[in-house]
Amino acid sequence: MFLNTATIILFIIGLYWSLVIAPADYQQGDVYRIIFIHVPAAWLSMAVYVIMAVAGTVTLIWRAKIAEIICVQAAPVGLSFTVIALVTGMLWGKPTWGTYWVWDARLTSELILLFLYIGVVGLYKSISDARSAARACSILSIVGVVNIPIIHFSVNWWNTLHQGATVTKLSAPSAHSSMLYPLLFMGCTFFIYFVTILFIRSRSDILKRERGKQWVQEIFNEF
Amino acid sequence: MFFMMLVKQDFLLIFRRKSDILYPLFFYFLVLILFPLGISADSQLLKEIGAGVIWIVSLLATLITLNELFSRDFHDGTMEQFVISGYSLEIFLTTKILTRWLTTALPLVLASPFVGIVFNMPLNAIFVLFISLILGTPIFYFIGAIGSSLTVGLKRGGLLLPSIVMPLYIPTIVFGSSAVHAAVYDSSYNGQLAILGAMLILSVTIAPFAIAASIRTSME
Amino acid sequence: MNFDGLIEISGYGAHVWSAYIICLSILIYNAISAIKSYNTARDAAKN
Repeated sequence: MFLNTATIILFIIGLYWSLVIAPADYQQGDVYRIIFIHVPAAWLSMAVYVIMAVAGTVTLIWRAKIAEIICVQAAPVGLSFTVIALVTGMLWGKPTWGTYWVWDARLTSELILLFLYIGVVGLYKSISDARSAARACSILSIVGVVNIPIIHFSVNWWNTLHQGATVTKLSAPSAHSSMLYPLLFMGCTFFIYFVTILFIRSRSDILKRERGKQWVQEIFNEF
Repeated sequence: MFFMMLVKQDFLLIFRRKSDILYPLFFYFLVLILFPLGISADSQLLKEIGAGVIWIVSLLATLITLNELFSRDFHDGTMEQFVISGYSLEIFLTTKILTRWLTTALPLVLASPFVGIVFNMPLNAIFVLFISLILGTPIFYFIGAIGSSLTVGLKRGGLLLPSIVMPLYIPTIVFGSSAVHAAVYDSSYNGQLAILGAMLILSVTIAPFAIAASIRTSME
Repeated sequence: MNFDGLIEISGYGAHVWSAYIICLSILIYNAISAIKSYNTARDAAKN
């Protein structure tokens, strides 16, 4: 419950900060504010996939049920983040670059990430036994995780339209602090949102799997 | 010894159904013919798009054979026997993939010079096309086998297979067709071919483990 | 209430608005479906 309220409060603060307080960019005007949802969504879409791959490795090596559940339930959330990143990116691209889409390396590899997510979610839905479905999705997440470094470094390797990294360079970030802080704040907010939703979904998954068991009945008898 | 036995057995099985070999080849030619007919037979245009088109059609031709790469053995119990036999599942699967590649994809690759001429590509580009396809089609098979082994137990896995496997194919396609494209326009293509070679080595060595793990998962 | 801020926001233009609204609606949709499935799972487990 704490996480739920924390998420909502953080979102309200983050939105207010990003929309009102952060100053207008001198070059792009107010359109740049999309950065406050586009970049955190993109960060999370990659981070969630890495989390899925790690959970997948744990599933395969140690056969832990919790790891299975995390791997599988994180996928739809990551899928939404990827969709948000792509759509907000397109909406930002139109006024600034003049086009909704361009086939540069970062956009294309994020699109690949979208299809990877769809593959994982589709695979899970199509296998009837929950445990083997989770194992299959673990394998798929691990195989696909090679895409994440490609996305991240693609802006360095191929010098095309999408701008380079501003925050994740090892030296000081190159964005001004009044824009940097709301960005980082929204990043944390998105992450906490992800954790909240993951926990809710994992809870439902656990309840579904452990329906007849003793400990579940005991918990409900307490209430 | 064991390896040769497996290879012989797989060749026997594949040659029993010659349609398995000829069907992708016909598909390849038919679809390739559609491009000049459907888009435009302008030779300059064909030179421009030829690299990508040939690569894409090769991908599609291999994709249609991936579906039943493991399904016959899976459904008649051979796979199960192998898993519990204690022999190396990775080697078994690798030989299956290799023999399938030799019989199905190699004809496509050998036919590619003719196709290159049809698409009006200069000779050095045809050479690069041949090399890149030799490097790239095994990658298609090994990565595709990962998807194939994940979906082999599903009733309608055939629909899911392309969507799982497509994102993993994209780097191969990008580098393969850009190598040929560079050769068509007389620029350097060695970098792309080198990366293709690296991807080939990576997929041949690592994919069998993922494939074996997926087969074991699909068994349950 | 900071009314100046609100007036300023409404001048931001279609792109920003649609981006924020799409993002928020996707996130809220996710949250609602997660909570709904949790409730069904809980009811199913209670019985």
